[in-house]
Amino acid sequence: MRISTSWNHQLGVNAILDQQAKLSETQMKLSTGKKILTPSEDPAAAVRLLDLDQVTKQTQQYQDNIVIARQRLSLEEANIQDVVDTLFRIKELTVQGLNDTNTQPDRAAIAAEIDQLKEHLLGIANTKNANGEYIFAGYATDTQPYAKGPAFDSTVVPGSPVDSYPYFGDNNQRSLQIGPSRFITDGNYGEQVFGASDVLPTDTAPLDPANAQSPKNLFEIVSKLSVSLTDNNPQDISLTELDTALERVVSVQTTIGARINALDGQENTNDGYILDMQSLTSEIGDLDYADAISKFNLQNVSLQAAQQAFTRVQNLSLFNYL
Amino acid sequence: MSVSILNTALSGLAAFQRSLETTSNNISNVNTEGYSRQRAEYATRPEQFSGGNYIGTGVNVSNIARSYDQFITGQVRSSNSAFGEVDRFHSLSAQIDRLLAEESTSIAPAMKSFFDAVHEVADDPSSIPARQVMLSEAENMAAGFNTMNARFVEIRDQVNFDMGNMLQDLNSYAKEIADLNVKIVADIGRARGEQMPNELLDQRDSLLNKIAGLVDVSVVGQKDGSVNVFIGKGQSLVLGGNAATLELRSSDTDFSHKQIFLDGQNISNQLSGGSLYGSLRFRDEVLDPAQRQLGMLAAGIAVEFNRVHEAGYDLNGVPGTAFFDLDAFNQPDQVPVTANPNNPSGASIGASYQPNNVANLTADDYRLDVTATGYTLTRLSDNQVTSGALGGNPTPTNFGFDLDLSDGALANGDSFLIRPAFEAAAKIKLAITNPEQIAAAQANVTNPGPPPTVSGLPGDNRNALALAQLETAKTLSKGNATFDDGYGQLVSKVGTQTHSAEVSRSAQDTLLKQATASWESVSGVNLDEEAANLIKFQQSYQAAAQAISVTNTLFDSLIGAVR
Repeated sequence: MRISTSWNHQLGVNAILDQQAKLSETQMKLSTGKKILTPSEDPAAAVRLLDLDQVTKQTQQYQDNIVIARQRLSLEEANIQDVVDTLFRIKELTVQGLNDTNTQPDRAAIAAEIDQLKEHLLGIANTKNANGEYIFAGYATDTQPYAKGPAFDSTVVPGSPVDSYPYFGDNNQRSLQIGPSRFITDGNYGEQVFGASDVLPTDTAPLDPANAQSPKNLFEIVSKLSVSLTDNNPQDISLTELDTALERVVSVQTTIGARINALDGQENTNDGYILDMQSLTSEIGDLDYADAISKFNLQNVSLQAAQQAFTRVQNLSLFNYL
Repeated sequence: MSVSILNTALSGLAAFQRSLETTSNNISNVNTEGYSRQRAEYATRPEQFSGGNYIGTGVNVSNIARSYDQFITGQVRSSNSAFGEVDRFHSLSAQIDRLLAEESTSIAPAMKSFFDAVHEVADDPSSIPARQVMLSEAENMAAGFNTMNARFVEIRDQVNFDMGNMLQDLNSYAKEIADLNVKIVADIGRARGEQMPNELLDQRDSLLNKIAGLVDVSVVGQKDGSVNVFIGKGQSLVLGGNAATLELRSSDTDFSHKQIFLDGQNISNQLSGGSLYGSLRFRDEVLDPAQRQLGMLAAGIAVEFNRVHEAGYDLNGVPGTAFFDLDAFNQPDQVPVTANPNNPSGASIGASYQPNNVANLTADDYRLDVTATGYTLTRLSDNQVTSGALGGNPTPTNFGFDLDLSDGALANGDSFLIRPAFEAAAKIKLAITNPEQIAAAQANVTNPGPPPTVSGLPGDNRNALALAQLETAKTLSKGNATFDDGYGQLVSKVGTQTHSAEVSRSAQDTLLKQATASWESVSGVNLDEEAANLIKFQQSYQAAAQAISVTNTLFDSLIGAVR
């Protein structure tokens, strides 16, 4: 086929331009380390990478949530342990106080110590975390959960008046999301740990007998115990009441342990998942350096060859010989 | 006798001189684009009967012809058109493709950071810093939508500007062809139809080629040497010495949507081939759908998030207000509606997003026409029509928005453009400024009432959890896609279109190169060939000159003999 001079030149130039374009693309990939520079090179893989990135980051957020949940549950566990220890001490003192060899001053002294322990328990119930939230108040984290309320009428509760401790908090506990459909509560609200009260936060003295049957929550039980000791009339039933309260606290403690274990398990699962997703991302999106470098060398050589061929051919002209 | 030798030799001299001129012309024009090499063609002069013999009387240059193949020239023109179209389409699509590939402007990381911040608020609902972070991440995400939409608008402006320039070029080429037609007809007439004005013909072919690169043409040659040029589906651009004018006009309902008019007639959807059609096709098949898809995503996020947010209670205990804003005029849920300026009545309609039907939102524009019996609502992508009666507010549709058709002045022939998706990405904004207004809690009844006293507690994170769940909920596309899927759809659609445009482009490039190679093979100048021709004609000239000096010697001998 006849080739004109300008087409001859153009063919040479086109060859060089093509090689340069290919070389430039390989160079970009080498410097960014990515197999896919724009979505048009492989649209399905590009979308897959977006999905993997989203899932990985979401799981990492779940891991952050797990850390927060564990902190809160650990704080609660420490406080619950304190409550259990205190209750055991109170029980000890109760057994000691029930012994009929005690005199009234002896019992009064025991009652005084029990009062101190009751204040300690009240302090624990009204613990605030680092953010200033009451941890045992349910959703009402700005409200102190337990405070002394009106006293029970002595006709209802035999003996001297017993203080009531109504619950001012909320009966729901916050959950955090630790997995795709997994939520875990980050604590317990007051009534679950310390018990409810028959007295409502809005009740005022004198209490409606219907509303003031007998002490149900921990503080009211201890209050009644202390009053009965001061009156020199301790009741055996106090021990049973203490045991009920202790059982309640211990069962919450068990659930805390179970929840912390669940957190550990979920954290491991999430870690494994993140690792899988990251290795999949690497497989799809990362450049195979060995392949790319050998391609780069080959294209380099092709470009040099095209350039040398061009200069050789351009020198050939009949006018050189005329 | 010597006179005849002289004349014959002179004719040879003149002919070879002409050939040398032609060869020199070819060499000088070796780099001229569109130049077809020329050749002098010889014909013998009529012979004379003298002295009992028929004697030839020399040579004439009968024609200076250009090496030209009409079929191959037509091939190059149509390949140029096809390549121009896919080249332009590809380079514009690649811009959007690269835009979506850039990490810094990508929407997916912005959405992820925002929902992570929602999780942080769910972990700590009463913490003001966590709420502040959520507000700034929301602003970032909205700004991300705004920025990407602004880039689309920039590209659209660039495309409109380029189309304007292309039309100006086309108009000037058409005018030049019309002028050339007139000159060529005159020149052919001057030579009485026997000689062709080669340079003018080459110029006209080159202009036709340039026009073909912009828009596909069909060229019909006329008997008098002029050509008629037709574009689109038979609209004439050049008829003899008259050129038509192309102009770019905006559509009635959208200023940025341009259409092509030929002498006042809208030919936008009759064009094919060339960069002009490539730009139109890009705008209609890639740019506008991409902007609508992005807008649908923005509208979906805003409406759905608002729905859950407004059901909750904020840190001050009051019900939540709208979190995102889709319209600058304090009406967060209004859908943009444009009335056609040619409407017979001056009435208006309204449209608003249905809060519970984000799944029905599509990346489409709609047109509402008022008829004698009510209204028809046409979905512009597939022309699906639904109809109904006027007067209702709201009149629900199945497309995620409600209509307000209560204006009594609506008349037969009114037309409105409704765009639930097109502008949403430009308009989405954060509507809340105070971190305490984030509604993280749900209802808490403090006093059953009646009426019940309801407020939100500070430690309640149920609404924040519900908002965080929106990230993985399948809220779009009739319940089949999450927000990330919506973005992924955009990326993959543009990626696929760009990829197939790239493949087309390589194929058309190869075809164009082949056609050009054929053309160059027939019409291109080869300097070595011209060099050889120079030697040939030089030697022929020298021989003819020698013949003249021989007749001189003969004459001298004759005169010398008679003296």
